[in-house]
Amino acid sequence: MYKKLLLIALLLSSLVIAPGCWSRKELNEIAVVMALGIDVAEGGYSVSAQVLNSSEAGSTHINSIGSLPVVTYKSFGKTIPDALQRMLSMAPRTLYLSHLRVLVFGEELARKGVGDAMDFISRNHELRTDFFLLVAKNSKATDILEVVTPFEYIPANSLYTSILASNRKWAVTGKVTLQHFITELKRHGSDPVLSGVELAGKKESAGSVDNVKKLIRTPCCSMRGWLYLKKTGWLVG
Amino acid sequence: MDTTNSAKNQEPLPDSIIEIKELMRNRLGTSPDIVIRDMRIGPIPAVILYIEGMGDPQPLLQAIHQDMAMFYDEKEPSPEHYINILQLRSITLGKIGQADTLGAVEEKLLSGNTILFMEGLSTALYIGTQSLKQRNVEEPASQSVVRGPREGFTESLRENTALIRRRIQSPDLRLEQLKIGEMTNTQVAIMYMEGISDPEILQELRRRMSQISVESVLESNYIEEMIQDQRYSPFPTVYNSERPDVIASALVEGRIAILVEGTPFVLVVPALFVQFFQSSEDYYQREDFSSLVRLLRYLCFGIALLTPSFYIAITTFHQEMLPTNLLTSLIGQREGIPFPAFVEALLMEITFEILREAGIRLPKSIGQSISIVGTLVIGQAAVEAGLVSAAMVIVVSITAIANFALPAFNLGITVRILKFAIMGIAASFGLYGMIIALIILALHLCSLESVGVPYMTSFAPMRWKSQADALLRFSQKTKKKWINKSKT
Repeated sequence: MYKKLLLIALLLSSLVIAPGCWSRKELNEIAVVMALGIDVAEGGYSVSAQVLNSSEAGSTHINSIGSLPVVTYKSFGKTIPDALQRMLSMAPRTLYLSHLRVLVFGEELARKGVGDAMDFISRNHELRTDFFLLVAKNSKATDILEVVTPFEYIPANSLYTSILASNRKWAVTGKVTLQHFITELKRHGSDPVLSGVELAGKKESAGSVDNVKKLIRTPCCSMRGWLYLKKTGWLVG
Repeated sequence: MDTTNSAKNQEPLPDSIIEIKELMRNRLGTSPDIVIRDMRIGPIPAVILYIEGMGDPQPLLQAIHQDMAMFYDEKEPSPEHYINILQLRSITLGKIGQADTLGAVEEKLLSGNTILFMEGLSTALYIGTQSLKQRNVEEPASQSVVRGPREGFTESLRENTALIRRRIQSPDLRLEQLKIGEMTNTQVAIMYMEGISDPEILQELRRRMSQISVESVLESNYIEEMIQDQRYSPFPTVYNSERPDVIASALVEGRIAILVEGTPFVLVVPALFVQFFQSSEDYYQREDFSSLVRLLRYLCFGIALLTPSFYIAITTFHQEMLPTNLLTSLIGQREGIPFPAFVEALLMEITFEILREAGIRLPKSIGQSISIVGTLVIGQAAVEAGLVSAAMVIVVSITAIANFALPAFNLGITVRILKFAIMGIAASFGLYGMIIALIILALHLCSLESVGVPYMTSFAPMRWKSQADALLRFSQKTKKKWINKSKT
């Protein structure tokens, strides 16, 4: 009887030690990516990520605009996962993609074709399917990511909520989730569409906190209606 | 020690007073509180023994001195004559009898009776003169209600049985008494309703109690440990209560109560899982309120068991399950905390257990507030020192408060023990491990039995008739209709 118990105890304790903590990530070891921007670059892709800066993201800071709660990292790579991994050399923690809010494609990339990018996005185990896809009109995706917004503490949230709100009240702009997009892509006889976002106002001041402090606010990002993509993800009109 | 005692105990008593006195002095020693008093009843020498503080010889002495003069009869100067007179005519007390072995005399003397020996008679008369100082019937300290009787059991077995008899004035209420404990010879009583309780369970209970061989029985837990099913389970299979109305309602339902002299806590057997979520107050308040409160208790069981594990599992393994805003705020709080979430949780939980244990020993006025308020204050200080995150203090506090909401203290203990085990599993294997642990727990619960009755009866095996009092509490009218209509 006691031998059996001892055996069970030994097996259980080895079960705790042997697998090496499974897929455990402490909250202060992850860098939550709120928005991703993908552009073309020579020889591959240029990926920019808007990452939550935890020390500024404490709940006491919600209303004070002392410093930005997000940091943007940029890197190049032959493929998107390559670029994301190169980003790790800059980011102090592992990037955590599950809480992505928006994914922005640069216009050039959209014209070339988002098919390959979509492949990675849809296969990655960490990404959920509830984030919105956008195309950056007349600019690169990185520029969209670098804008500071009032109202929302985290700029990616601002894009997210404005898409939600404007879609509900004004159907000219639409919300497209990953699931939506892939389904449309695969279906015969229908072509997928994506919303566009355009940077208005001065590009230089978009990235600074001053942009928020002005009383007369120049609209920084405005939704630009539907952009129509063709079968394999080429931007047409 | 056993065999020599019992051999001696069966010996008949000697005739002469001198021999008896010597025998008693040898057996009981020379304690000054065992009084051995010589006297005469008529012409015959006699000896009275009693224990000062436990027995009061007053009625016997009064009877002897006042009445014997009247009944003195020269024609029949035998001791039997006087004993008969005393037993049948003069003593004004209820319990009286004769004992003829040393063991019986000892037993009666040590439980507070007064013993009378007469020269030439080899039986002794014992008179029930117990007069111990008892505690008054007060509000039970451990189980108080908002509405309902405020009587609690006392330490005297007789008073407790009387309290129950007062509530169930039925001829079917039976009482069986036995002595358990080799050194303490504690009186233990079994009460049940003839015709309602299951005779098989009674038989099983009697069998188990006859197999108890323990040196001392000081509290009902000594009995509980020996009669419960030996399944090594943290779950209690015997219910206990300090309130006569709870025991009375259990008896009426067909359960069996075990009363132990010296403790106000009465055991009820068989005990089912649903019983630990029922409180007598459910029937003293309206049924809709009681039903909701009962559902709340089940919820509290879940909260008290699972909240810290849930927190640990989700924040370390499954951050994708949190809403983004919550994640942002949690990340902000955990910035700079040196410990992983599991160690944080363990520290806070252990601190809380220490505070709770300490709060029991403190005087009542501060003891109550120390447990919860103390944790919050210490938790707040720890948050400000940067040792734990604020969310963790909330998690631990809500766990503790939910634990207090469970009406049965012994189930609360179980939850406290299991909570740590599940926390460890959650920290190693995440939500997956937690679900496996809960499945194992459910399997264990379903295989548990309480004196032969499956522990999860009324859920598994499903008894539709008892659903009137399991999850919800139906009103008396609805209950009657429900029980009549249900199949099982």
